[in-house]
Amino acid sequence: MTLIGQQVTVELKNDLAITGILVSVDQFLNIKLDDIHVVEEQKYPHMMAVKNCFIRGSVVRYVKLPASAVDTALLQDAARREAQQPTVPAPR
Amino acid sequence: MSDSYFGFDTTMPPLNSDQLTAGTAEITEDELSKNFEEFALESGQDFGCDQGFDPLADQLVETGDDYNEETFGNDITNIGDDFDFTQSNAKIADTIQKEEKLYVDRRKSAPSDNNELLRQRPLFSNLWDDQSGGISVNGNGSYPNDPTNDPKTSPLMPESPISPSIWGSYHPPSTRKESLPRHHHETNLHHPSYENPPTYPPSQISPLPPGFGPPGPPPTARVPTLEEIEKQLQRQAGQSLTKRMLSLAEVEAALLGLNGRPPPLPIYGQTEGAYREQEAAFLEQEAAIREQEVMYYERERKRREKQRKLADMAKYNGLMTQNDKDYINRIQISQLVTDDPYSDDFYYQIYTAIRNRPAQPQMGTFSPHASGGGAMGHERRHRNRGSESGMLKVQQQVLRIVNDVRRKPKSTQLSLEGALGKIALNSVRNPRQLLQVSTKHTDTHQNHASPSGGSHQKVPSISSHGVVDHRKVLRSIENIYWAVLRLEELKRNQEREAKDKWQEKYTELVNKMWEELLVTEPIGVSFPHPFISILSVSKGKKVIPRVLRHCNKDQFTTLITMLVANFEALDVCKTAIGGSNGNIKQSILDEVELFMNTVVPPLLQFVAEAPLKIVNGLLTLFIERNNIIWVAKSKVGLAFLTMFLSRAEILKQGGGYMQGLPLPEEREIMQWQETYNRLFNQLQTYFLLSFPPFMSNIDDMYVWQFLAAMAVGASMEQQHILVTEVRERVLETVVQASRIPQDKATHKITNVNLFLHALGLDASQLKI
Repeated sequence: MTLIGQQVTVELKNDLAITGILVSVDQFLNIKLDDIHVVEEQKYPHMMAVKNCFIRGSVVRYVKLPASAVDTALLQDAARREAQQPTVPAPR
Repeated sequence: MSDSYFGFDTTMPPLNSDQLTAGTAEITEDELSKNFEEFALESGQDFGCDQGFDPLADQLVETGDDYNEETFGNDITNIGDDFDFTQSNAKIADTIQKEEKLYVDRRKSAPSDNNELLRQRPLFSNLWDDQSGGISVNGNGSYPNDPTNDPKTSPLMPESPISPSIWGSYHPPSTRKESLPRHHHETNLHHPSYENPPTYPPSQISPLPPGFGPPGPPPTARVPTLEEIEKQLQRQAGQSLTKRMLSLAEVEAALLGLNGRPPPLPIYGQTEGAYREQEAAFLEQEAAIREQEVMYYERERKRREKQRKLADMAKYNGLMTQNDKDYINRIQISQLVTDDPYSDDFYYQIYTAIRNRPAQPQMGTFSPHASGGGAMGHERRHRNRGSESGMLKVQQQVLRIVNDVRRKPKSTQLSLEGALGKIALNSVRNPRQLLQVSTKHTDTHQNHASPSGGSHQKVPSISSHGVVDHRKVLRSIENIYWAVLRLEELKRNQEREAKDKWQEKYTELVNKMWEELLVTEPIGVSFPHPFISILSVSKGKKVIPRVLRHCNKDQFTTLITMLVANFEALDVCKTAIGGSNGNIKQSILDEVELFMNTVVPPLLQFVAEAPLKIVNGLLTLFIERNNIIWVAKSKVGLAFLTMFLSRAEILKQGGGYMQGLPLPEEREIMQWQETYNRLFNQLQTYFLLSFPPFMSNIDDMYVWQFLAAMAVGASMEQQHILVTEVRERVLETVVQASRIPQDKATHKITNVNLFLHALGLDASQLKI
């Protein structure tokens, strides 16, 4: 279930996209990655030397998960359920 | 100095085997030293082995002494040689030697229990004997061991310290030592001097006058070395050039040996080519060694760096107690904990449930999760957790946290004592709101859409012009999903609630869902029918199997009837019919595939249990309501026809008896035959149109299945018509199969045989 130990791509709000092995995530969605490399290495050569990183959750735009690890149908259901959560009056 | 280390021309005449066999390890060492020193002599450099390669001298500015005269006020051409101490030393070299001899003799005559000294004395004298006919150190003839140089000349003169002091100034041992690891060559050269240091009596023994020795390092180590060099120098004086070249080869051979490989002497010198090969190999090896060294140093450097970092951080060790850590953990976990995991962590719960029981059969691959199975998986997961003792502890802690959270559920912020600022208690359930969306507008919109007053839109209420708004379709699909999700949740909680109450809720929800399906909307008011519109959206297709799980027989019948009656309007029917070229867009093919995988299986299951009466009615409706020739061109249409035909055939043959159905009445069978004939007559002369274009890559198995179903129920006459019509296609396929690879051909033949077997024939009987 957990994606820890899998490869994910984190796209930041400054357009930097970092691919790496997920180490941990906390409740702020701060992310720790290992073995990282930047998707556009040419554009950000200074990142080539960086091997691991901690990403503050607030700067994350997207996290790309491996498709095989996500059940999209179930995710849709989960999203539907969340939309039905008490704050939004359920359609009746 | 570029070709080889010593600057010799390395392309030498081939060595003869004698020279090679002479090259044992010890000789190599000797030769090396000699070789080197000879070179030093030739090039006029001093004996300092290291200095011979020191490029410092090159940096000296030799020009620009035009004004020296002015500067120094002297005639520079008239320089005396009073600073040349070496020369003056040379003058007295003779005397020095004599004095040394004298000294040694004196020591000999003196009573001494120093065995070492005694042992070394002959060596010492040999040293001086050897130099007969050799070139002297300083370049002028130093006449060795003149027997007339008797010790009596200056009996009291101490052993000459001059020689060591002079040499020493050139050659401080410390420098040499430092340079040692730089080159293996040098290491080799120095070996003799280090291995036999006591060839000369240690200078401590000699009565060296204070201040006479060189400053700095003690002379002990130096003295023997110098003597050694001198000795070797003198010994090699008469060596031939060829000998020297051999020794070069041996240097390298020795080097190889030094690097842990046996010196490959036998290969050596057999041919010049072999030698070159050898040298190339050597260079290669040397490069490899260097690389290894670099790697080693790199590793070492990294290791050190890591250790340094660790040591750097070590001062923070134990800064937090276990209590502190637990406290932090609790703060973090409290964000994730919930007393209702199914509503707050739905995805995780179901996903784990599905993953934990991959073997459990599910109703088709399309079903994201079986509603009943979820609860089971959930339970099992809890059992697993309980078995782990560590998890038990966490669970208890979690329980406590849940209770805490429940006690004060309102707080969204937490201020800790001594902490700066506040800790936000936003969670997945209570995220910080970034967008403030006014709900007023949508409310009015909704009310507008459904003036009847329901809290959700009373959807595809047909718009005035009779076309269902696509958005409304999507809305109603979402409403279906909502009901389905509630139903599935209810099923999971079946055990927890009282049966009556549960049943009540369940029925209510099923009715709600049924309402949302819009199956019961009257036909003909809108086009397409709202239910068909729902089925034309892919997520609408996907929800059908989940809907049907909660439907009763009547609802099933209604649904399939509605579907059959409006079949033409289905996207998978009307758009999935290729033209003459058979081109169908991939997106539509995907929709067809999805329909076959989601909607058809539960319907097939229903039909497979239906009595002949219902099948009869459905087929009749199908024929009446749709242009059957048109529908028969689509894959889905053929699938439905095949479904009805084969079910009817099974029932006709009494297959329904096994399912507890009574044998079909005569009247029903008659009716069926009538319907069949109608179908056959309509399709007659159009059977070939059902096939996809012959050369297309579409698998035409479904057509053969349909034809087989037709053939089984056909009369002899009808069979004949059928065969005549598709005969060409059969032959074409069989011919084609003989030209394509085995596995594909087998598949083609199997397809054709589906039909032929229904007629009691086989593809192998065909004569092509």
